[in-house]
Amino acid sequence: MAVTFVIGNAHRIVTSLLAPGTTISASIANEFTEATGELYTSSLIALGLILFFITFVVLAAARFMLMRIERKAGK
Amino acid sequence: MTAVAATPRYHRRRWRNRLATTLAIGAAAFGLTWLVLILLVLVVKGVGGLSLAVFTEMTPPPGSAGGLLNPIVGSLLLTVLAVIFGTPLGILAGTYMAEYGRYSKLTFVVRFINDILLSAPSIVVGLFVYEIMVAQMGHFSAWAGAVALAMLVIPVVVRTTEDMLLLVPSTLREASSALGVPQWLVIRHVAYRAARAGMITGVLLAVARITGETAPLLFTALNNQFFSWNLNAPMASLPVVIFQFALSPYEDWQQLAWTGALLITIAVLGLSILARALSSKKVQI
Repeated sequence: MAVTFVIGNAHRIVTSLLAPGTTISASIANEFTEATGELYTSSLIALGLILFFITFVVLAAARFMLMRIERKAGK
Repeated sequence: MTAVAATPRYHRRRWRNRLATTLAIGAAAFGLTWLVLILLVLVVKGVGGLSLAVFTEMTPPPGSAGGLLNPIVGSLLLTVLAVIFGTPLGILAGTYMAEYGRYSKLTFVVRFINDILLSAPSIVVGLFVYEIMVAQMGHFSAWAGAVALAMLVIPVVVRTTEDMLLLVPSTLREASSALGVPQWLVIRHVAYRAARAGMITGVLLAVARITGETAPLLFTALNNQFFSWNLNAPMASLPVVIFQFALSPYEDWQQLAWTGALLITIAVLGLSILARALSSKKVQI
């Protein structure tokens, strides 16, 4: 979200780290209230789903690793 | 001692120790530098716009004078509502997890889901509340904003309540149970009392977290150029106003954004320090 201020909101896949790009949160924050039509809105919500899925996978992995460490400590 | 000090291995270890200590101090200083720089920039840019008008006047149209009264009141109101919604739920859930179902499957599942909610991107929470409230009601409202913020409060409070109650020694509970006290009284008078400072800290941390959140408010409480007590209508809040004003091309709006950012930072800093003070007092007792 804080990235929105500085990333530039450019709709393209950048090849240079120094060029403007966009992130999922930045896209949603910038475009959601201005999205016209059913398809635009639901695409942005689908982006949110992808973002949530990413957090879910990362956290599940972290949990899994913690559980393995706990099981090892228990032995 | 001197015999040991003379060996080359000892020297090597001492040098390695010094190197590691220097690197560790350097890393800590590196982290602190950014914090100090952020505060410094905020103070330098924000203090200039600080005046009585900031607290007494409403957000201006570009090019005229004004203040931040409506977003300040809006932020306070939304935060208070979110804490009223979120805290009881969070404390009750945390109590169940620590006291009644400590080893149950349900607690395991809830803990996992709570962890996910705790670090879920706040913009997703905003989208969710938009769909269940704003889209259904047909308009943006302060209620929706408060609900979105409450959804961020709940996981923090659940987590801290559970952790703090788990820290209460079982012997305390056993002692009061042995006197014939029913479990609900044990929880209220023994467990809560022992864990109170930690639980209050948790609520304060939750407040500190939500006062700076822009993302969940963007599509729920939206923004309002005018002062409003109407919870059924869009409401201004400091983070959203900062977001809007900072990205605007008008100098006076940008100045107000800096001032607002300074105010929020002072509030969050104050809350964090208060939470710290409270939790360290607990250790002394």
